[in-house]
Amino acid sequence: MSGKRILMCTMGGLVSLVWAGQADAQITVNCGAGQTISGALAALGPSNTTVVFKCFRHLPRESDDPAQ
Amino acid sequence: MATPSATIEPADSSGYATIVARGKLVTDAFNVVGTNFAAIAVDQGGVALLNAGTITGAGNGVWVANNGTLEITDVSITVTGQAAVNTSNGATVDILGMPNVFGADKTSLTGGSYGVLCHQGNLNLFTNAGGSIHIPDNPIAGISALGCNVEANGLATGVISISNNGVSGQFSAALELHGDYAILNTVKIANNLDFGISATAAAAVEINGSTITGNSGTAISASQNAVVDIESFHGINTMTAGSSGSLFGCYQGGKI
Repeated sequence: MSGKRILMCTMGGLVSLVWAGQADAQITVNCGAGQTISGALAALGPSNTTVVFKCFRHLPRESDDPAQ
Repeated sequence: MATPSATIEPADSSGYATIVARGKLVTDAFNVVGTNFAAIAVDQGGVALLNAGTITGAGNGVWVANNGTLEITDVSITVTGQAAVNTSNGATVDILGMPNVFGADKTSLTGGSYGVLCHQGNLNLFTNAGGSIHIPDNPIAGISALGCNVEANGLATGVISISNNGVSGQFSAALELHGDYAILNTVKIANNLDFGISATAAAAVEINGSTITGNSGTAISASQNAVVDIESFHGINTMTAGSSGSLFGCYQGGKI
């Protein structure tokens, strides 16, 4: 997994996707206010992987991130 | 307008941490609930930038080890484990008190024993105008530094307060400084049970424009060849003797 990925807060498989991050992977996890990522162990693998957790006032949309 | 927030919970409360940062981690407006060890672990050279949110749990708030780097802004950590921020082996920690993009600022550090337990690393606290850092309600010490350099700068109208720490019957200090150096510019150390500053093991401490008042034990203690310099480049220092202690205490080669 490399390049940019956008995940929704409620998306399943967050654990494995983040753990599997490889060189230069950039992962953004978009959540809305009040949402919960339950049981999500977000472990960042390689040193050059970036994971950003962003919270929006509204439920996130794909258009929230121009990188999508 | 209130800061929005979402929550991250652990998969397993017995795990290492809810979030493990070994690359770069950024959180904006998240509440993180920790495992029994830590909410966030930053290790193996990882970098974590935490903005606006809370950290709670039964373990440490943030565990920073093995050359990890942590920067927190407008984050409130209240945990029942050993420390709100616990470091080991080459950690670098920046705690910033400044209004965030949501206009709020609530940086606060409370652990089960320590606000910050800094081993072998560097700890920086910085506030700018309107910002604040509060380190209250820690039973043993607000900050305990062992092999850790500490710099605290409460600039402009910013506030760095290490107050209301300690519990009855427990030796405690707002700041425990073992070796290395500490620079405390415009810091408020007030109303702690027991010592304000306890400097030992050849620690070099510089106090500048700070307030050390209303503590029950000795306000400033220097022992085991520790040296404390009190200067006034950043304003007047205001200090009072502890209600059950002295203003200054020097033991075993300590100097003030």
